[in-house]
Amino acid sequence: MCGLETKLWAEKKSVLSKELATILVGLGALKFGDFVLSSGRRSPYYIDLRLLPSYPSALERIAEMYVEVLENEVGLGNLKVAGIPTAGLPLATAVSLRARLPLIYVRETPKLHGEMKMIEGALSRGDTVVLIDDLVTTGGSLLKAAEAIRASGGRVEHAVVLIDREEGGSENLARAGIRLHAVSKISELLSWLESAGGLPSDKAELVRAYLRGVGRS
Amino acid sequence: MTGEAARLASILRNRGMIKRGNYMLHLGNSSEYYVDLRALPSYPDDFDEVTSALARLLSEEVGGFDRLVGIGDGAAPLTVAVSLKLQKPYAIVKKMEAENSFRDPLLGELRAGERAILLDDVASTGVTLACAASIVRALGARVDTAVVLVDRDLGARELLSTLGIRLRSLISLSEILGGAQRSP
Repeated sequence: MCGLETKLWAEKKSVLSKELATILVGLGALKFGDFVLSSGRRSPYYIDLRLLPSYPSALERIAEMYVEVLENEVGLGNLKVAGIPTAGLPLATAVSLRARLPLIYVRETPKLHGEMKMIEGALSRGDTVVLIDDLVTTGGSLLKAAEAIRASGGRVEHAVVLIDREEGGSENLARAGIRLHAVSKISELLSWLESAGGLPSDKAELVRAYLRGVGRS
Repeated sequence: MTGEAARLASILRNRGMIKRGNYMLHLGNSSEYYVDLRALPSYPDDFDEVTSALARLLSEEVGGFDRLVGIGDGAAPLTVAVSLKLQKPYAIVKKMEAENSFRDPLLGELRAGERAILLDDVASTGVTLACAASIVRALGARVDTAVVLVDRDLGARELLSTLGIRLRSLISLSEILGGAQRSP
């Protein structure tokens, strides 16, 4: 990619971030306060995409955003998309429909009846698979999915998420040979919200302090 | 069998989704045939054709409804595809399996009083659909219709009708196997 294309894509991506921030606010998906995450860790913000399934037009637009990231940062040729259940599977489905790419998914538990397997869908040795999930925190569930797909012969080099929570996921995935791509990052969403007057700066600062603390730990 | 059903039957047969052998099913039942539609979304053109047929059945024969409710991860791709085609909200209800926790049985939301249509890939005994219906009803939505791709004719229609739920299917296993006419 030449310099100009890189610059244009960076600009396009910042427009995407802004649009995503607007969609998320509309869905009530960005919450600020004192939350306990599923990992047990406390967080001053929470991303709740529970209302997304109720708004097909928002889901469609978000799927387009993933496809734009795929096109510009990964390339769409000869690719399969893998959904990470539970929340990543509907998104991966919407992406696969939009880009007309084959979909597979990783089971949360191996099938106990019928045939025992961890991967659902057509996966052959040597297939290139891109992982799709909604959010990444430390990258644990993406790494687990990559392991299962690799064990079945698939090649995994990229993962695409909607929002990077910037808690080490990118670095952890890189160590496993997987590049993380995100439509947006929590720090970018914060900046947009703050500049649009949708978030008091003291709350934004709390989240920034939290993210810096994560970086040090 | 209609032209559409014949076309669906050939897609499912050609993609190896109807397997012959001795398979253990849920609840310890065994069967000579195993219907596994999980790989369908791996074939975008076939997936589009099948989900378009589902969307047609829903818009032409089911009447006005508020939300599609897919059963488990297995039905999530179908549910999302039809939701996007018809621009209707969806939710996914977790399957009743021992290893699932029920802290949150639902991905998405349900609103009190809305008419929800259950969606799954395959109906066998109907126990899975019946469990899902009771969860969806407990969460306040109305359920009177379930739609599946393939009905295996193993009692789901009868079980669901005792719960006031009509089962609709695109095709039955016997049609796929080239046997009897689809029951009305």
